[in-house]
Amino acid sequence: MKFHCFNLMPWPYLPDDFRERYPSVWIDAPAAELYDGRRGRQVYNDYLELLRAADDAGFDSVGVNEHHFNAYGLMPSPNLMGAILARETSRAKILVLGNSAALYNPPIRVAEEMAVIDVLSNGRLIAGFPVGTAMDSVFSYSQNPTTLRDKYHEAVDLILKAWEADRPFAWNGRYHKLRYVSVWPRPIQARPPVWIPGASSVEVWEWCIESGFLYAYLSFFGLEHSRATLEGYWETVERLRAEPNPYRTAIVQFVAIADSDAEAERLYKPHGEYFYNRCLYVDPTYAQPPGYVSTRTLRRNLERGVRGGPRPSIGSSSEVSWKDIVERGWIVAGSPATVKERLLETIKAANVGHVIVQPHFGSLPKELALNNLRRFASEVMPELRPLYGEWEDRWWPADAESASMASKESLSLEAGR
Amino acid sequence: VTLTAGWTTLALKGGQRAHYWRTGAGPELLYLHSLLWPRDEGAFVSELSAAFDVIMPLAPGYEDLEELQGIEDSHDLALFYDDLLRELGVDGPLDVVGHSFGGMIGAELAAHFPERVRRLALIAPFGLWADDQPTADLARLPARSIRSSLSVAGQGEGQSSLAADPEEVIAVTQGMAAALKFLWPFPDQGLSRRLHRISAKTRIYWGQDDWVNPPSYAQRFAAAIDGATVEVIPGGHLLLQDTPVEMAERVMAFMASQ
Repeated sequence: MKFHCFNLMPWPYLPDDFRERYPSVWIDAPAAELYDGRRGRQVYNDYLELLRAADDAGFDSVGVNEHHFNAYGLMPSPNLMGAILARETSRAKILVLGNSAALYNPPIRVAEEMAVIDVLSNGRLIAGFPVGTAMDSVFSYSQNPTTLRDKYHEAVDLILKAWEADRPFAWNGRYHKLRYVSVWPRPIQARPPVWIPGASSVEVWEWCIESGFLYAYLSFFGLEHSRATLEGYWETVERLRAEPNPYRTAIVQFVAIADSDAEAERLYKPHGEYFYNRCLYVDPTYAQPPGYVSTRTLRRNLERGVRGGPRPSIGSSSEVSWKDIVERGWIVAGSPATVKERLLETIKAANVGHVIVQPHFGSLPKELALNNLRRFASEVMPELRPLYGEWEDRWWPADAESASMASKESLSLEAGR
Repeated sequence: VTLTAGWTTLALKGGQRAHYWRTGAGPELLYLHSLLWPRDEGAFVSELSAAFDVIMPLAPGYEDLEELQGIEDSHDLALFYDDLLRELGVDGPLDVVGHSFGGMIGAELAAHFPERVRRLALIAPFGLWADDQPTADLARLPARSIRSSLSVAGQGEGQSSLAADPEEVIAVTQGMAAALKFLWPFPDQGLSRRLHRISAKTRIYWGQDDWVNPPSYAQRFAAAIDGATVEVIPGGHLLLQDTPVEMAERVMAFMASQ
């Protein structure tokens, strides 16, 4: 069982009356009014320190991602943070989850930057490629919703080929015309493991399974929300006769650890409510522009929406309380024993080998987050570690030692020829 | 999206499929529908069919988004309609009426193939952009209530006229997705560089309360097309849906003029 420490890097100073004064945390929240670079400097440094501490505490990776025009995700390029972490950490893998490949023109920039991170970190890169939310891709970067997915697939194919090709090549794609592709540097790993943070879509599952990519379902709404999605994923694994290996998938879980459940409420309540009520306050008209999902997926979602009960959604008009958040499992909160128990339930029900833990959320101050992540690593992780020990994790960077040995071997083989 | 009876599907030489509705008798007239799935334009088309052989193609992608493969830009779009007319054996100049997204297509067709179009009636066409007169963000219009959103009072409204029927939501969403391929992030796809090529006798119609596509664009179109005239009339973006009989009278009067 592997545990990753992830931080969205939210802006923690949105005003109390944010929802009354602004329509959305995304796209149209004015940074000129709401952001302050001097405080921002401290915020970035605190967040980077938390991730460095996660390396020391024993998390398997430290995770960063990409968002645009967004007050809850202040990493427009995950590669900037990934490059810093490559030097600030020594053991944890660098989980870049990931680069929205369709937004880069040309996407070889992604191949180059990720290769730098892999080299700097001695082969610790995990390469994630999301399509990106509609807010990130369609509204922030003005991508065309009807061609976005096609363009994304072309970009991912191009990046992987750029890493793996033996010789410079030409790429005459539908979206990218490149007379020469000849990427320097080359990653240490022959091919960094590819993780796809994706929506609940049969097309995405089939693609991940057939390509050997890990499928990560990044929901902020706990197991209840993820269960149906992962059931669909595992059904697809079975249908395609792939191995039901738990390490082929990952989920997200927020945690909040204290001495007791009551103490957890006292410590974490305002910060959890800040995250769900301010950070996820997104104008729903940004969530799904026409063409962003296929007609097949739209039909399935409409049918499910009709049959299923109320589902959590971004842009929901009513506020949620700490009680709701904890009862629904959006944040698993309480004593180490409570957290362990609920997490074990989640892990088993979802059959996941990777849990992307978020010990920081919303406006949580650094010291509290630090304590949270250290207690998780020392009081929750150890007992869960042995789970799924019978499976091999094939979606993980090869050991750096053996990776460099292998490359040395191939070097001497070449020389001997 | 399943097409109802009355639509004909044609295979074009380039491999594309085209769907069209044909009704009425008289000189041929090409009618290019609005952003909406064209079910609400029947009354207008029916009025025109009293005097014309009306050909109404379905814009590519509206039936199946896969149809947009190979139609990548406004040039491909103009060629698609030219291919369709060739396939139908319509070689001589004909009258063209285009509304909203269809107005943009009509202008593109007339700019790419000036000899194809005799008279051109454009009703609130998209295709231009001015920073001080932004068109509405079409990607944010709610599919469930698009009919009321596009109407005069619709700005910011969320009335759910379509909430009950998922198939209607799917049809509207898919149509909007197809149109957005050519309208996102701006309706400006280079038409301003080509408008001067239009040689058809042109009339521009605009609803004075069109909040989706502001009426100030009427003068910009007219200024770029030789001899074009403008009629600004009461109404919003959906002139043909809201006042089909009156609009048909106006358009037919223009078509009958010398």
